[in-house]
Amino acid sequence: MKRSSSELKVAVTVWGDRVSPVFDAARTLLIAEINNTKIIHTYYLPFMPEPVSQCVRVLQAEEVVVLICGAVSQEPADALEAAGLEVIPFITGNIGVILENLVAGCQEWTALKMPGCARTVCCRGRIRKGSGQTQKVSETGTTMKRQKRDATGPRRS
Amino acid sequence: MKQENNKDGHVTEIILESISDGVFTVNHEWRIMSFNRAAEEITGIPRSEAIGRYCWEVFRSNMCEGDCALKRTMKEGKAFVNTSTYIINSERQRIPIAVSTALLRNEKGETLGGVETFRDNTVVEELRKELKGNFQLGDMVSRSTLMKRIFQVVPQIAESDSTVLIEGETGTGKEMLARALHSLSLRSEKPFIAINCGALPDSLLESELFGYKRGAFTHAVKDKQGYFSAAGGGTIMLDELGETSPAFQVKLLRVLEEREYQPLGSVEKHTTNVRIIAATNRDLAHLVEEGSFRRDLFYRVNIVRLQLPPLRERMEDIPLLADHFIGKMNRLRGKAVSYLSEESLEVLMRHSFPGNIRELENIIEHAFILCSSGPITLNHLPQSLLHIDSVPPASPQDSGQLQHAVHNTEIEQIQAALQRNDYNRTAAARDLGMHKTTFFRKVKRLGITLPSRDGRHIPGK
Repeated sequence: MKRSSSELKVAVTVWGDRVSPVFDAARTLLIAEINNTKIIHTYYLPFMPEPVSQCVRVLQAEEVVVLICGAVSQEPADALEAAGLEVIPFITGNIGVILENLVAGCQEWTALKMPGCARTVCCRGRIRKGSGQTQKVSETGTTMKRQKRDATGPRRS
Repeated sequence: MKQENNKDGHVTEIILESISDGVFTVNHEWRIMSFNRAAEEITGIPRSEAIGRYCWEVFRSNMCEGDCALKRTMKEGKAFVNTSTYIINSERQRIPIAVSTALLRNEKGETLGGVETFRDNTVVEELRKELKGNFQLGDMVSRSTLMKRIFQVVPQIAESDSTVLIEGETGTGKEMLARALHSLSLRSEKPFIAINCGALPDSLLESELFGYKRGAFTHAVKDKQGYFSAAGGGTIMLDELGETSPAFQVKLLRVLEEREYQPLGSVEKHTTNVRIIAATNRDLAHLVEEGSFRRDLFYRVNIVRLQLPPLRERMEDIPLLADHFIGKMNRLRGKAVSYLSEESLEVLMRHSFPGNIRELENIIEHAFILCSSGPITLNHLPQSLLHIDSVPPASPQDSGQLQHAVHNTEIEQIQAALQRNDYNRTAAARDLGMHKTTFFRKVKRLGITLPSRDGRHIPGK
């Protein structure tokens, strides 16, 4: 069945109800199908991050376009990005909050990032310019609204 | 008294700040309470950002999710020392570390939380890799002389671009060797495709390798490129070549000779620029004699032949291979299994490994299911292995009889070899496959009297 253009599949490496702290050692993927700012379906998938080529194949077979994960080392991150996946790394927190952030079309992940993520570089590795409400087209072609997030620090569950 | 306590605390702080090991403490909610200077340096995270955060958000070790040492300490109340693992720092680098954990108690003995110390092992790991490099080729590790000979010639063979034939029993690492050949060749940037010829019927194998045109057969609704096209400029490994039919062998021979192939249903010839690595667990020369493998194809693929020895002929590799698989599975599973216990290693050394290295890997994987840290003991090994290897201990009488039989057989063999070689000691030693020094030592030990005639002197001269 062909996916409609507004439909987006996002994978999150999970550990219980949190984002898995290390992608390289994660065991479970939560796959969320998002359509018009609504999560229409979620399911879990066991997976192995190594070998990374196999992991890429699994994500491609699931038609995932965005991967949200915790700390990830250079080698798998490069391979995932080379395969055309948009990787949002060094994210931490409760899955509910992450998905909420995602469906809200929020591109600002500062409040959900792990400590040590350089302040001038956002978690997607790009230099952050300006702030506030800006429209931005991501690498995968999905249009998301960038919002300024309340900088009260990470939410904890 | 209070002043003295303050003074002690200050001294402790100075010590913690001056040491090169990272130290952090957590409370019962797993939130970081203190974070020393070395911890900042190793993780790349400033103290101001670390304090108050969950330890896994800061420490980011492969153990966090699966087998956290600190969690075990808090649960079992005991310390763990020098567990090897890695963390991911803010620069996305994997930093190998050694971790020790203990309970954090106040002067009244109340548990306040846990303390974790960790040491950056990057230099140690680099040295270890350097050392291991002598025994490693791609994903293959070995210390055996037989394998070292292969490791020595592989770089030259890889560069040559010639067709290679890899022979070896199932599970000996034929595909790994083929991958190593590919990664060391000038084609390394191009694809490597491995296909099991024995698993597919002729027509399917042909369509997989050469592709087909639309309408070539029922359900061929569009053109499909084959592996020869997909591997463009790369390497194709044809595994289990000995299982292919004579009809397919003819087609493959044409590709090897003319570097051309025809997709199914096509009238056009396509040229190909792939390197072929053939692999088999059969003796192709024997199949040629039997008439089940084409002689001309055999000579085409048998340009360079590499014979992988079975594991039973390189038993000295078992400890090294086991360590290699333990390291690999620790990384994959986020566990902290340290090594094989002596008894476990003994059981493995007694096993004949008909499934070769793959079987050893499966045994380690089995052990990992039951063991999450520390050494792999007999309890973690498959029962079948223990059953086969649990030979009842020989009685002293049996043992005496066996020794007597061995003693007599050795005497018989040495005397027969001497007779066969006209009592020439060196020739007899060579005949028995031993060095002459060993030969003389055995002769002395077994009390064999050597005749004055030694095969070198011609009587009457």
